[in-house]
Amino acid sequence: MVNEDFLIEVDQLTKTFGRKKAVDCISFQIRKGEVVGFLGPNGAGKSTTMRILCGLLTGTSGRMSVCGIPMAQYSHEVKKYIGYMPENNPLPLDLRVYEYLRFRGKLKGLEGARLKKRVDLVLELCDLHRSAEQRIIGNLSKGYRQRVGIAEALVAEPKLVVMDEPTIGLDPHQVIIIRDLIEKLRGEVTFFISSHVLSEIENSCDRALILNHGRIVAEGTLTELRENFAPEISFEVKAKGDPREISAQIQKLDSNIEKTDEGAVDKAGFRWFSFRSAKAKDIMERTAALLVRNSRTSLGEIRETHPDLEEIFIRATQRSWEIETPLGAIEEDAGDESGKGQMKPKAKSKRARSKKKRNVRRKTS
Amino acid sequence: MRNLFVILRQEIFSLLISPATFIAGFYFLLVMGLMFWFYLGSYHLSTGRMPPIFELAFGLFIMTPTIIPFLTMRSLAEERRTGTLETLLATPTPTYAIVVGKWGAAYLYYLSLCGLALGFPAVTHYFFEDKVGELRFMDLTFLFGGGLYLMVSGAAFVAIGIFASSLTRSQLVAGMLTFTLLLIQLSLIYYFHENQPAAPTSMLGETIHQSLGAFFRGYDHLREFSRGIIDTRPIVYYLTSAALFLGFATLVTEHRSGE
Repeated sequence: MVNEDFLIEVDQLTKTFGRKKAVDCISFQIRKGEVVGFLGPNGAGKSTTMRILCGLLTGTSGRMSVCGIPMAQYSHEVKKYIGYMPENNPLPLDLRVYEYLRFRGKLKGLEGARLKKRVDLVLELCDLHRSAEQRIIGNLSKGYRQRVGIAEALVAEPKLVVMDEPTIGLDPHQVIIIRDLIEKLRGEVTFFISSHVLSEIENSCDRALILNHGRIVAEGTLTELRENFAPEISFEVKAKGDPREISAQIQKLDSNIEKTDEGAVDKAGFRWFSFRSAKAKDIMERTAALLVRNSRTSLGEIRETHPDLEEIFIRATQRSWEIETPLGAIEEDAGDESGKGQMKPKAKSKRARSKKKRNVRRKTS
Repeated sequence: MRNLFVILRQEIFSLLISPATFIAGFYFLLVMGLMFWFYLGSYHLSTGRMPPIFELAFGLFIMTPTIIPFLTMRSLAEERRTGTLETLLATPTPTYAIVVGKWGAAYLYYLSLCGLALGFPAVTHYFFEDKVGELRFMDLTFLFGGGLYLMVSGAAFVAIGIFASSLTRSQLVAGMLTFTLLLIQLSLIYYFHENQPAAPTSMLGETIHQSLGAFFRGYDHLREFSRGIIDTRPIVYYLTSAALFLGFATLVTEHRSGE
């Protein structure tokens, strides 16, 4: 059943290379116009998933559709709607920017006045029209090349743009340019972006998918991810007084409060303390009241802190590591079809079984 | 089909802006010119039974292992090495169109080199007609036969080069592989020319020897074509070989597209 709200629908997608499962039964949907970040450690299966999504690889099992068109049967048709910028952004170094974009536009079905209009538009959109249009790609800086790659992905009015590490190796100014570009096109084009620069994903994306060992271990908006992976309250207190006494008093308020950090004292005698509490909701108000009441301490400032995507990423991937058995086998809850469900350790992995067999043999001999 | 012509046009453009194309062409024509010079110098020693176009076509034919690797080694190997093949395959372009487009460009360049090499006898004929007129350099029958043979054999040889280029990321390896495959082909042609399947020792030996001999009679075919005798068997052989190697190259490219 095709849902018209979704641009991408992936259902139980698996890809194996020999005996290695690069993508392991993942399912997700992406709505039209969404900007979705795709995160994961190296070797998690991000690039493989993206290549399957672009029709460069075929999945071993599972279903996938883009714009409601099944990829397995009509990959040629699906490619018309996709703009793809692979990792390292490969470009022909001996062509001029304009020639290259015209060539790619033609391959994607554009011609005549429409081709010229689109090429001019993406040149302007990517800020290439003033200085780089007639330059040879091989002579361009990394930032300009990255923009050429993005312009190529956008040239044929794609509905979906898949970008693998678009900001890798760029300086902060160039990163901002690319972020602004995504912002300009937000709502018109669906972006599926993989990156290791988590702050980028946090700033640009509506939602994130976190992949580890070929499985989706977390999925949702930043708020949803926080609720799932960092539900505790974190807060920072700037106070003056004996640090041991301040810490002890605050921790007395609730047994769940844990001190995570303590800063150096400043010129005015204040220092920052960081705390984390799993349960207490009004803990900040109570802490403030306590420090104000106490004559030996004085409160400078108190503020709630939120874990950033980096923290969530580390916790999500760490959790999937911890769930794994020491021998590396994981098994997903059979009832969960989303691919992000609770993971539980396999009863016994293949290696564990063979190890057990060897031990039994040794004992019998 | 439209994308095939887009790629063909782009490949021709890429060949024309690459200095390597002109350097390879220059050396090829230099060697062909020297061969033609020696041929003219030693013509009085030959029996003169074969038309002169045969000598030139034969020279071009034996030069193929050295020129074709330069034309084809870059095509798919370089695209794979730099990663541009990945973005090319992500466009709605069938893999066969990419392979055939690249083959087409290299083949057209090969044909243009052969055409330029024919300029040597043409120039000699028009400027020294009184001295070399009896050699019938510009006899259309001979030209057509020899040219046709070079065209069909070139189609297969360029396809072999494209196939070799699809197997590897390294231009150098692709070039060496093409050179080796074409050299094997020419060696077999030479072997079966020297060892005509006349006296087989057994039925099986006869069958194998004759079957292979029929495939690798390139020297004899070239002689016949150069005299204006058109035999369809080598045409079919070379064209099917070209299709086969281009098919293999397409399969390899598709298979390795996700690497």
